[in-house]
Amino acid sequence: MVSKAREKIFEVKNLNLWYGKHKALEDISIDIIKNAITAIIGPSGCGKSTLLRCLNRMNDLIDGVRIEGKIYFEGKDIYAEDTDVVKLRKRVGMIFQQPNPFPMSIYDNVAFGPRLHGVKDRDRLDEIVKTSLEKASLWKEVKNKLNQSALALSGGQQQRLAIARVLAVEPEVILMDEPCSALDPASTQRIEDLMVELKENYTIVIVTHNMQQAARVSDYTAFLLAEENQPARLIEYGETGQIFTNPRDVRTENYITGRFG
Amino acid sequence: MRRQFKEELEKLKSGILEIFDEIIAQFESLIELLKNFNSELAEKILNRDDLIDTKVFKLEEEGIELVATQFPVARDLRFIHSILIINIHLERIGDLVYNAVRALQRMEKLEQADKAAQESLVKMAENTLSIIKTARGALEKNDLELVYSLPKLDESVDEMFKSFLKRIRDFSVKEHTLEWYLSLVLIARYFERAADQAVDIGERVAFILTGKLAELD
Amino acid sequence: MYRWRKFINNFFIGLTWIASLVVAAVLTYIILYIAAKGVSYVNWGFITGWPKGFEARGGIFPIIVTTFYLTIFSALLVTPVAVGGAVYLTEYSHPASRFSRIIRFAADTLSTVPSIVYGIFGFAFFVVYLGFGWSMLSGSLTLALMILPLVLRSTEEAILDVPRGYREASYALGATKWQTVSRVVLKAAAPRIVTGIILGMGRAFGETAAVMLTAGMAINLPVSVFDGGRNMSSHLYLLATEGISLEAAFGTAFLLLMIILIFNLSAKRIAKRM
Repeated sequence: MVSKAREKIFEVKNLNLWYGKHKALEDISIDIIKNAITAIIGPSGCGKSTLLRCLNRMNDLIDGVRIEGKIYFEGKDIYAEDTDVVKLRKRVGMIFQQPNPFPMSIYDNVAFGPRLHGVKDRDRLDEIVKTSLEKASLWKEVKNKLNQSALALSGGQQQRLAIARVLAVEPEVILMDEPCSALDPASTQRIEDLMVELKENYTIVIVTHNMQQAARVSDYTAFLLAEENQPARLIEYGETGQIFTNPRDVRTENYITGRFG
Repeated sequence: MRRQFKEELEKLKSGILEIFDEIIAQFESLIELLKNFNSELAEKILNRDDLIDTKVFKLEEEGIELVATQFPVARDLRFIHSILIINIHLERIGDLVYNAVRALQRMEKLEQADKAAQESLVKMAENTLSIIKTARGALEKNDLELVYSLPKLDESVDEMFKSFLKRIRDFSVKEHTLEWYLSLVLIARYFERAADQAVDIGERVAFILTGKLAELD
Repeated sequence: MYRWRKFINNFFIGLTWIASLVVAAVLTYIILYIAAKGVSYVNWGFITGWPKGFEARGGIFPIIVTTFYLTIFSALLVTPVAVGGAVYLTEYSHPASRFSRIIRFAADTLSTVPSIVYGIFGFAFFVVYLGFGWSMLSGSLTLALMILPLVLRSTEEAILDVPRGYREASYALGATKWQTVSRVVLKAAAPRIVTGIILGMGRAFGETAAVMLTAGMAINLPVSVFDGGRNMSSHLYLLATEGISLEAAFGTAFLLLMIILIFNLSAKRIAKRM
């Protein structure tokens, strides 16, 4: 099992999720470790993104979603009545497969988050923008063109901008939903390197279909599988090195060695 | 599963079994040589070793390439990794056979010199060969039972070696040179080493099957 | 076989080419005809001067002002309602709800209603019932009603075209719904919303029947919203039908056409800049 010495930041207990009548997640329990990278792998459409989105309550935006079970973030149940969802999403940020930079300048994109939360002072915003872009490994490339439209950046740069955008609100956790699927290998490599740098100060949870990526960057790997007409279950969760050399469940082994359909 | 990858893995397996068979053939020839020394046979065995070395290197290259191009994980990774190590153990056994033949060449007329010594060596060789064959069987059939039977077999070879050493003064009342005695001991030692290598091969087979690395005792 | 297919292919290409030539030719002819008949009449005096005599000599300055007044005022009236309504329909109500479907249906139907009907409604309601009389207020309100379905629909489409990813990214940063709508969605849809409004204004600019019945037909320089007036297309109609001056009519027509052309061209450039 996962070593008890490391601190947990999320504790998911017996999570069940329905989209209307259709049950998507079955009794999932998992602990996410602080300042580590956890990868969620599994075949397409099996509920990995759904699980990820529960962690910052983005599933609330979809009609007809029902949840049973508990998710504790730093000890507090995020689905409790009195949870401030806006605050939650500030502390648990998210990057998507498509970077979707806002049709504004690079500066305004990064400053968007802080402005939402009331930061108006220009100097402070300047500082936040600079720090966030530096942390996202993008500052050098854009420092002279902060007022240019973000839409003019390349795909890899846009994704790093999306990361800077999230970093600007000073989250504790960064959720990534297939962040490199739309990128070329060189940009993917840069983002992976960035993830490893970031994990020192942030907790990262990444959903990916690319198993080599999961093996390369993550410290812990969770394997989710939905067997025919069944909701997705957590089949195995453990340290990445162990999962990729000697997984305990034969279904995990079949998936990672490519013996699935 | 990726069909090409599956075929490559099977090819690797049949490649190692082929090398195993070569080694077994060499060993059988060595036993022949022990019973009836024949310089032609000796040369044949020595030359064959070069061929075996070539096969070993080729297999190693194929294995590395497979790792580079196919990203093997879990069982597949343990399999390829173990095959490459078994490869080295087999090459080592081949070298031990080679060295034994060279020693015999120096000794010549072993059977005329000392029947008891000859019988002892032949017995050790046959036991060692049987261990090697068992290891091959374990690999081919993925048989853990066979793997676990190896340490016991090895013990008997160890015992034979120890008693051989004890009896060394008994061998031959005729005068033999020191080199003769040394060569005798060396040959016995080579068999004992070969048996150990075979046990190590068994450990690797266990690793493929269980994912655990441990000494077999 | 191949030669036959090639022939058919070319035949149809030729036909479509001729059709487009015809369209282009007709349009060009209309524009050139009006230009030819009217350009000589249009000069600085025409634009800035007042009508003299039986409305035939002189200029059409007050009429131009009335036209702009009505257009701009109706745009100001329609924009908050149309944009607000569109935002509600797209962001706050469920797209498949009864209410939204009814609104949408109503909007689509109203956009096909002939302007004279709007005119009569405007007359009965604004001019008489509410007592505003023939005025800029009545006229602009009526025009606003007329272009409302158009602007509502185009705003709605502009908003729906904003990629879902923008909204998701915004929520994921901790934005509330209103923050997302105002700071991201509307901002992203703005160019197309503006284009929609400008197109609506274009329609209002050239409106005849609805204006005559609600702003009146008196030539006047409107100052207060209760002042009446006559716009360019109504003036053009009256000049032509009452046989006063066909030349002046063509002059007005030409000016009207030019302004609309400039309008449309600048609308495109404004939207691009945003």
